[in-house]
Amino acid sequence: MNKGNRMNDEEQRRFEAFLREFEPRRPRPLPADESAWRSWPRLAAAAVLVLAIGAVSLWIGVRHFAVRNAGGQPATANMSSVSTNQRPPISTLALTRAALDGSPEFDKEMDSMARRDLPSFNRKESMLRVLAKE
Amino acid sequence: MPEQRLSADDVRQLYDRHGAALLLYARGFVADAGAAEDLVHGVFLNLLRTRPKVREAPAAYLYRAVKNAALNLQRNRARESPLPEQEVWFTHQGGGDREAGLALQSALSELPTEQREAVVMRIWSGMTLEEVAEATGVPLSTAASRYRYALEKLRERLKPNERNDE
Repeated sequence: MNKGNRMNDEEQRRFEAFLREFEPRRPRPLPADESAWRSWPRLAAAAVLVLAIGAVSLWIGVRHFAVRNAGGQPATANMSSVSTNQRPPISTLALTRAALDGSPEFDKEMDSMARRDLPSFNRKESMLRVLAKE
Repeated sequence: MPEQRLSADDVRQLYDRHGAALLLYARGFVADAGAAEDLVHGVFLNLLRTRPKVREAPAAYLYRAVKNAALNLQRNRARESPLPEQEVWFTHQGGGDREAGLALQSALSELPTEQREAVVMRIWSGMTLEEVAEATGVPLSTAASRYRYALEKLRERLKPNERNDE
């Protein structure tokens, strides 16, 4: 570079100011909501909502189970107090617990369910009996 | 500089402050004005979506990201013939003076890349020479001499316009 072209500080400042008068064209604006759903407050709010829904569901489930097993007795004890024919349907959870305990009540309940739910040959209106006659 | 994760507001402020200068910088690599704008836009959108951890000055990070994206685009388009460049890169504060803007555009595009980036960073991004040195990965003295050479070359090319302006 030719040293004769060298600018002093004052010339440099003036030339820099001259250059700054030219503004480069701006690119188009960024989309307004690009990051809206990624912000922490929204994520936290979504997490709290999911947790709240989960907690309410769990509470309703536990309460439902408690009502079924009124008095807080174990499921197996409750089963024995009701006669086989009058038994209301037992929840899957209570049935599972009885099976895990190895309780004889589990077998009684299975017998009851078989009489209640499976097709019976003995009843007059039994479909199996009607088919057998034909 | 400690590692930092930029917020959406930080990214938008950076776009306001450096977007125009980065577009000017990208145009030095990519002839197609639309592609250069898409490239700069893409860098910022990616920043908004992924929020990477930045270990350097954000402006330095942005210039590096734009340069890498521009070089990738150049490689991908190596076999394509460049589009004729018609668009004016600058507007002049005082209105008119289109001729001077075109002369500056031409002079700027003829500078070596490292001198052009020094002058774009310093003049239109308002970065200090220390920041320019960090962004370009060279010692401060090198960044300073690149900047000075760039100014001298631009001044030589723009002398008639500068005189008219005064």
